[in-house]
Amino acid sequence: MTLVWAALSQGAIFALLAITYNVVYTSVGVFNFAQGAILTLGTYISYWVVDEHNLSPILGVLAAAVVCAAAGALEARVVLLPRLREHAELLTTVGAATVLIGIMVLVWTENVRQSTSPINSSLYTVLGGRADGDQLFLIGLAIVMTVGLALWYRFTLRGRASLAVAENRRAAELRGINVRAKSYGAFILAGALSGVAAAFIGPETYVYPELGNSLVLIAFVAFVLGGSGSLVGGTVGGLVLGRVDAYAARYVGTLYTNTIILGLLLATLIMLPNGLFGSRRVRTI
Amino acid sequence: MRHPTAIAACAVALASLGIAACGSSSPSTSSGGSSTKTPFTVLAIVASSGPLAAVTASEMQGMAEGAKYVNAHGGIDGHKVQVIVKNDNDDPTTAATILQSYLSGGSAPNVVYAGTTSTETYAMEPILTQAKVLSQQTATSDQTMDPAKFPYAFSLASSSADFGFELAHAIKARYPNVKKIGMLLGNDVTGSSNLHNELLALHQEGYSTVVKQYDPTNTVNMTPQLEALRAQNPQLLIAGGFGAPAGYILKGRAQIGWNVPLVGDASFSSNPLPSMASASELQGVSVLSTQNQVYVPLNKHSQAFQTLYKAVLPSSGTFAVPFLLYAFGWDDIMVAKAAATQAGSFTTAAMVHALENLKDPTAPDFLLGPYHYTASTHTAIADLNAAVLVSPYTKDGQSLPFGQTTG
Amino acid sequence: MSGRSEPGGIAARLGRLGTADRSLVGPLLAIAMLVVLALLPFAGLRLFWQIEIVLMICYALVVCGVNLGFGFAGELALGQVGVFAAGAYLSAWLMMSGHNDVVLCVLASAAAGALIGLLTGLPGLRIGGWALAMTSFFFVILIPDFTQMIPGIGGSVGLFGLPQPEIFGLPLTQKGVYLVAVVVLGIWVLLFRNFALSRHGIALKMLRESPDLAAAMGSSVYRLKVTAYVAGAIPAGIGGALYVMCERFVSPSVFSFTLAIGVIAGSVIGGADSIYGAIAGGAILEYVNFETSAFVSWSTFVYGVVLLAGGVVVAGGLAQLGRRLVAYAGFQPPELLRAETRARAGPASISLAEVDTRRGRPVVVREVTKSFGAVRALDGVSITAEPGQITGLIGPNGSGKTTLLNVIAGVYGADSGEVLLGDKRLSGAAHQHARAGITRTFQTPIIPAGLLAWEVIAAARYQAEYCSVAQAALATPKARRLARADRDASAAVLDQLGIGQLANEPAVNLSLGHRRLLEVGRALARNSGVILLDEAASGLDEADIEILAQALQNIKKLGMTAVLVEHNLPLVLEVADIIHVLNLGHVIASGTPDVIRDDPAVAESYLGKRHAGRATEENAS
Repeated sequence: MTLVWAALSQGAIFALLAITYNVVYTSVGVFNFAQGAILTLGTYISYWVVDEHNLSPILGVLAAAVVCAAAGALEARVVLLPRLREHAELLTTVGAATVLIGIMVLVWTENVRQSTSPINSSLYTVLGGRADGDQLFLIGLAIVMTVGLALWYRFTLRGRASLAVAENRRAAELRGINVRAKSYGAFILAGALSGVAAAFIGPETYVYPELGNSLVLIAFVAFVLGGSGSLVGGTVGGLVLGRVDAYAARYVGTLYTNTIILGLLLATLIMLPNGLFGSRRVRTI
Repeated sequence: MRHPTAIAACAVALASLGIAACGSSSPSTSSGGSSTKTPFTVLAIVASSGPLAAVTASEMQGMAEGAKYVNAHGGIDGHKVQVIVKNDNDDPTTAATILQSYLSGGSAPNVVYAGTTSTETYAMEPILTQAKVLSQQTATSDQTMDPAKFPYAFSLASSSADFGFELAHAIKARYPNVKKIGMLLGNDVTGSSNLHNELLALHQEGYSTVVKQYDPTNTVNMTPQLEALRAQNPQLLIAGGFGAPAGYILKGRAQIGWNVPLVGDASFSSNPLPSMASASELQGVSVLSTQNQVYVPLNKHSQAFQTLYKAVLPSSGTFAVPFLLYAFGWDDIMVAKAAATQAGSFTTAAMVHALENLKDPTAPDFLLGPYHYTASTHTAIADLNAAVLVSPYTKDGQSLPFGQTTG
Repeated sequence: MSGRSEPGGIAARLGRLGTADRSLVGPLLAIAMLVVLALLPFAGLRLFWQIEIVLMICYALVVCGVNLGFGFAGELALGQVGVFAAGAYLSAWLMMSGHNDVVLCVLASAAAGALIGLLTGLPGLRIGGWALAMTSFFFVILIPDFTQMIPGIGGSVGLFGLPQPEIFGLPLTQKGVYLVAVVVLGIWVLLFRNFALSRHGIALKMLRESPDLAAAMGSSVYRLKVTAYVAGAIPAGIGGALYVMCERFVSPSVFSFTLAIGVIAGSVIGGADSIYGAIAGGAILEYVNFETSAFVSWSTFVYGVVLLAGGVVVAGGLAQLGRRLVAYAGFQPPELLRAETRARAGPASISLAEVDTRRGRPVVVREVTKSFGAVRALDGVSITAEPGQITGLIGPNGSGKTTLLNVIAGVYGADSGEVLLGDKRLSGAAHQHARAGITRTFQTPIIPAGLLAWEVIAAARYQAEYCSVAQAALATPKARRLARADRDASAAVLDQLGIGQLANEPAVNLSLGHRRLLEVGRALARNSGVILLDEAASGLDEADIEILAQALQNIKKLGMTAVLVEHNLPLVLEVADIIHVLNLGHVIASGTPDVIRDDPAVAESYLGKRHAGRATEENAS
């Protein structure tokens, strides 16, 4: 059972990252490669506030959310500037990620840091398995964020406006929706969510500049598995992949885990191009 | 603004030319202060950026201090020691290219310090051998420690096979009743080669083993691997890895409540463990080290040790990396100096001959060693009896004895 | 008449050298540069720079692969780094086993590259766009795992200290390796250029623009994609061989994420749709990679800035900049040359003779039903379109006209019923219908960027008289003959449509009416017996509609079967021989234009009951 909790909490981390991918992709149609680096930045900010300056953990969470939201806005400014082809968008988002990592290396060096969790992270025994407070919280956080965002998109005017932009930019514009603001808003929201999650992820994963790179692959697969654009899908995908990764590592061996995961990615794309939860579209000429 | 794209492209091009001018690749021929004697150049091509930046930085700082010390005491027969450090970004292609630029630039160095990791070393050694340049390394690239194929390559560390035997020896001394050992190491270059050597030694010493590896680049949780090992009931766990993975191992072990003793191998012991894990996570944890790194009050150490120590002690008062790394850099200079002084010349052949017949392998200037090089052995020979398990806690940058948490 | 002034001087005359429509400036410059490159070591180029240039050539070849895939075919398959690794490891293994002949290694790695390109590209047959890009991108992560799974290639350490390469038994120094690399690059550029300018290159550009267009022209989209993947993988494999020849080691850490993104950067910055852009991109990649390390702790930051700048600032790439510079310098780009094709004789007679041999056959639609979910778009529709006639299909919005057209074209399969061409039942996907003899136009003309007007027409001839990739790359006499025939046929068709003078214009610059005509021209050039026109008149003004009507009359005269889906009633009433009216998936009326004009049911379907009566009255009066 401990393995299950570990797998679920690992999956929750991927899910939280996949959620932020979804938020941007749903509104802007861009896969934001830099989201992992923004998450890493959040872990550093939380560390800086709580461990280096001994301030309140709540402040750490808030500071991380604010700084990451700002980073998202700045990235939006650069990435959304021209109307780029996919090719170039990959380049700019990776470039943004690299710049962020470069800044973190300069400010904090490559040394691995341990950050303190905002909540009590001692070990608990739950349902016969041991998990620390952080891991349980992360699982809960992933679920809460997913449900919250899904509701927001469905039932609030602003949320539906975002969906409208994703559906058809031009039409949304003509209906009076401020498309530009919505695009920026998506990046900012994704950043804020990353920041909040980061405050709880950092204590689990340690804080180092390449943290984002370690997470990006599986989070991407989660994103696709769930059906790009589907929030629930991304979270389920993340949790599923956490299980797959953990069990593969446990029973098959590390050498094959990456192959298995990429195989899963390919299988999904080929057989279920809309993922588990994505919507089907009929082709039109 | 008629052609913004074209203008912007020109600007980018000019900017990159500017960058190129600044980060010039052509090596400057050194003239140093005095123009009477050519300096003795030590070229270090290392990974100054990337995850190992801190390790490299300490080694380089040790080297710089060693050079300063030598120059303050008359240099090498009056020649100043000059250290040139070049970053290869942990990329073997870049390392090879930088080396080529120095070798073909007409200003070949006297000694090359070949890389932080063995990947870089492997890329550079064939070139160095062809160019007949003396090289030193601390990365354990065993295949280059063959004087028949690489006659000019020397290592300041013992061979990785020796690391394996040191580990086996130290474990036997501390845990005589253990028969079955579990191993958790990374599947990168360092982890794989360490695993190979450790298994060799352990099996020779009669231990049975169970092995699990992890991928350091995208593992954030070690619970699966630890569960898998626990299922096989080993009595002791050997862990390897540098950086976050080390922390995950300690965390995971605590999470699954597995109380077996944990022994960190050579790579594991380079981590600043007390700053990465809590006291409860470090219960039952020890790391491989040598007797001469166990804490001894500063004034009991050699002059050389005290000089280096005071020079590199961070302003915070605590070391973020083991002092051993600075010592490697320092010894690099001292060994080169010993070779050049004994040979009476800077030619590679003479220096190699001197190294293989060092009059004083345990000179007071050396912080590590002894360097018993011979015509058939170019690694520092390990004294197995000096290998011990020590506490993960440190005092003043030196390890505390096994079981102690404070000095 | 083109309003541009006649260029004068040596520059322009140089520009007009060679074939009428492709200046030799580019190739001449390239050859000159290659010769200079080859001579440099003898002029004292330092060993370091020799190695750097070989590395630049390796990366340029890899970027070429990316360009072939993306720039030409629009396919974002970015697995070239994996192919690069495979080529390098294969060559390294060969060298270690004693086979260190350069030619052997280069050819072996090229073949391995092709094979792996095929394998890693197969998923791309089902996936597209960014998903494919990210997937193939992430395959880089598997490289270290594979080196450990496959025995004998050094695992995580790699293979190093490889023996000296040879060529035909003679050992190669670094200078020799350099020369080999320059020669290989030259050969590759030549082959690539021939390929890119050939029908295959044009077909790939069609694919990039729209897979639907490619299918409508009869090309199997799968086949084209596979061509793109394999062709894009070969240079990457060759690059791997050259890398190992030069560096004499290989290890998994060479093929990192950084390299993968760097290759993309090289493609974007150099210009994804240019041959020479790939070379510039590769050179920049190596240079930046090497230089940024000097920044030590700033190196990650600097590299990130370069990537960002590359993506944001350099739209179109340096190749675009290069083209502009060449234009400013007085070398007129080929599109501005006077059309020598104009002067060729007897266009009309050629096309008549050609088409007459493939007279149209009747298109029979029998009881076709098609539903989309709960919506029944076609409900038991049966019509026949006879050759030598124009059959009009009209009806209000949602009546199913376009759906019917798509069923005939094979874009949709009918749920029940069948479509026959003559007495042969049509089945399969769109490209199979196209090959059987159906051509269709699109509501919004699909005109690939980067093609001239005559090339757009010529693209339609891709299926006729096939010439293989190898023949195109080597520019054999057969390939050249076909190219000339293509140009002649296009010129003829353009003249027939009355827009012959636009032959050398970039197609995307033409007006909507002219682009529509190009679509019609494509159908003519295909020599298919059947043409389906999807709202060809929409958006055209009076004058253009006149021209279109004339073109339609020509089509009729040539004996083709034409089906016209239209909203423009006056046009249909004027040109059609027989009209079928659809409403809500049923045929509600069929007949000659006069009959349809007066049919109350038709008026009702368009205008509703209340106004229908008035409309028929007005018609009668």
